[in-house]
Amino acid sequence: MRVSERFAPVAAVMSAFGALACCLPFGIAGAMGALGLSVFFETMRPWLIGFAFVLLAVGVFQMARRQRSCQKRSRFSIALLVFCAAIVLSILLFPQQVASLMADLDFRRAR
Amino acid sequence: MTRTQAVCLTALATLVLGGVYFARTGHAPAGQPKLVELKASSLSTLQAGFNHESGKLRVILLLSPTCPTCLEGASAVEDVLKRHPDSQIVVFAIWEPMLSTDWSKPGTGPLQRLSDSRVQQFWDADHTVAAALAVTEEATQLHPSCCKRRGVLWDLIAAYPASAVWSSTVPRPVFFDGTMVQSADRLEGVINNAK
Repeated sequence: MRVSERFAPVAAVMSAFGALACCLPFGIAGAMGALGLSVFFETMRPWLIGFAFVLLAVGVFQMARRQRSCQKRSRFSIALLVFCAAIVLSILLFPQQVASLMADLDFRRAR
Repeated sequence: MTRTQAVCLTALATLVLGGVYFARTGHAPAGQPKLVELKASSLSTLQAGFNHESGKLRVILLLSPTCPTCLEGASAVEDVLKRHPDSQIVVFAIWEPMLSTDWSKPGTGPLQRLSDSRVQQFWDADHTVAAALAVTEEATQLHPSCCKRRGVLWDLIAAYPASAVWSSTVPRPVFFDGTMVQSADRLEGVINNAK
């Protein structure tokens, strides 16, 4: 699949770099990566969505503990956590709409 | 309850309500019959419909509503149908749950991808059609180049000549391959040959 070939590695790299960023909680970055991969790797989707949930929980836990590895907890981190949670729920609740979006993107490129 | 909690709860409730809304059975496009739910005991409905259209090229599609590649394939087949508006052809689109995200019947969005009036759409939760095609696949040794997940056929096109009759088993197809998006061009060749 063309999209997976292009985007999956990018999502993986983003996830890895995100995890390295000192101010970005690991859970959030990992959840984003896992979610990105879940959209493209259909067969691994249940595992990756489950992994995204676990990583989101880690992100929430990190927020709750108010770890201050770099600076104090930022509004950006909170916004990112909410954003990722919304995406996880969207994929679970609106999978046909997400799949349609991906199909449209790929179909237009193929033409 | 704090303001933040109220906002989060409202957002969550909105998402859940949206999910329930989209999980309703979709409306088939204008000119097509309603989405038919197939059970093992009602496969004869499809069989009767197939034989009723005898004299036309008949095509069976197997696809999942949350698989982007399948949805692309549906659009590709729709494009082929648009290029052959006068062809004697009937398409039976069989939606089946193949992925963990296939927890509901196809909604209006996936159904609208096959909007041609020569299409009839079905929801086959028990993979009865895929199983019937697998029997013919074994008997005829016609193996698609892809299109199996946990032993169930999906994302493929099976085309049958005008003379084919579905009796005790599905007849031998003249074309049997996938993925749909990769096979749409060859389906067009079959349509041209049938003219």
